[in-house]
Amino acid sequence: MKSKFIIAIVFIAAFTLSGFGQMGEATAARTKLKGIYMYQFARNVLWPDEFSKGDFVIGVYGDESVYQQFSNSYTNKLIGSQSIKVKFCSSLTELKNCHILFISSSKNGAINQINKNVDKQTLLVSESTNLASSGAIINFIFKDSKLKFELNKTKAQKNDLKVGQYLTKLAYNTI
Amino acid sequence: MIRLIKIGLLTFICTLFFSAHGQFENCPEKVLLIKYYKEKNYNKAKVMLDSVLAACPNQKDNPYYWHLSGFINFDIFKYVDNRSPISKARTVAIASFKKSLALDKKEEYIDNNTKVLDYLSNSYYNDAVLYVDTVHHKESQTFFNMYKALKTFIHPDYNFNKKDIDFNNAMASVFRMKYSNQKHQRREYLDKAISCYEKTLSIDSSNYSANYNSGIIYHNLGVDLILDELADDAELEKVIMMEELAIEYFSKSLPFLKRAYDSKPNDKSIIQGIIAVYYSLNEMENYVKYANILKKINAETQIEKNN
Repeated sequence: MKSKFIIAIVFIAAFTLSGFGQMGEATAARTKLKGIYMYQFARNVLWPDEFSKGDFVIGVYGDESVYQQFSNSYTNKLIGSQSIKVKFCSSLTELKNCHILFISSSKNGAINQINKNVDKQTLLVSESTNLASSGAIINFIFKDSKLKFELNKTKAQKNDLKVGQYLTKLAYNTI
Repeated sequence: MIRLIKIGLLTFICTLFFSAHGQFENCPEKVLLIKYYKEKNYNKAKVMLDSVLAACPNQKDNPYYWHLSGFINFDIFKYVDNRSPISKARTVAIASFKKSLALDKKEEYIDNNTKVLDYLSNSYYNDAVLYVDTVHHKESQTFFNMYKALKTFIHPDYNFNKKDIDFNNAMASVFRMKYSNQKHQRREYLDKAISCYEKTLSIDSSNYSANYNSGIIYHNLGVDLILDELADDAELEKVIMMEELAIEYFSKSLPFLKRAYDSKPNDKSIIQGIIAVYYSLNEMENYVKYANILKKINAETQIEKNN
């Protein structure tokens, strides 16, 4: 008799969403947040005219699962009249022709080479410990467990990218 | 318990013959009542109970009459209604035994009355178990309450802690299942599940199941908030707000998981849970700490397997 409810629980639990295959979900949640930020970066940065035609390309360098998630969520969504294409870059030679390039933290050490291989007008987004060392225009950081972004407005201007007030206002840190 | 009831029944039938004449001296209907009961013709015996009372109204104050009524209805519950949870005979049997106990100043029938009442209280418990599912959980709660009420009547100091914990945890699982079936519409089910786990933890704050599952619920609530309730094109203000809420859930999850970990420090799933929460909270030092604990346990398990 003692174990009757326990048997019932086991039976029910077999049909209930169970425990912690959740590391995958936790990762997916974080990637989703980054994806939403990236999408808003795309909407709130103005590229030079010659970049306003054709597809809007978001590149992902160094993390295939991030690429998959971005691709599933944003492929063919519109930025103005441009249709988003997400591409996975597996090597430095594939970094060209991106409006935005997300550099995974696993590639932080290669930032100098990355900078040499991207187009000037590519909005580089990194996830490094700080913006200055990241070499990117936007850098994701965590403050009090929350995802924030830092903005290098100076570098953006230098690269002919106009960052909207919306992003400037929400940036955790601007240089 | 069943053996005790059988012994009780045997004793009861023996006493029936010896005492029947004395008990129903001036009530001839008793002969038929005894006859039907001896023949296991319970339905007729039940009808005769009313006839006896109609013919001999003084029997209503006779503890033996109610004792007999209790057994007849008890047997109807068992053999005619096949212990059906909706059997009215069980309710009548309980009322009869209670009445017999109340009238039994000489305490002649107290043993058998209480033994059968105890058996019947357990039958309510069994029905509570039977109905603990997503469709009948309200009935399950009702039966569990009836079980407790009757058990308390027989054993006023009975300690229900273990049973309460088992029941609350089972009901919590039911509510979680209902929630996962209708995630967005039925948040109240998750609140009910949380409330059930809280009841368990108020009895035993170290209960592994309640701690582990509360931890899971809060972590999943945070994750679901981001994965399910945030649109891909959400405005950043909304993202910031939702992330704050999610972090509140992640933070709530952690103490439960830590308590579960204290109970079972080698349980891999709980360590995986803690790792996930620390990841969600971006507390990377703790994330690495528990990832290494898990790594060590995995290595030890591998060595054991190899040996």
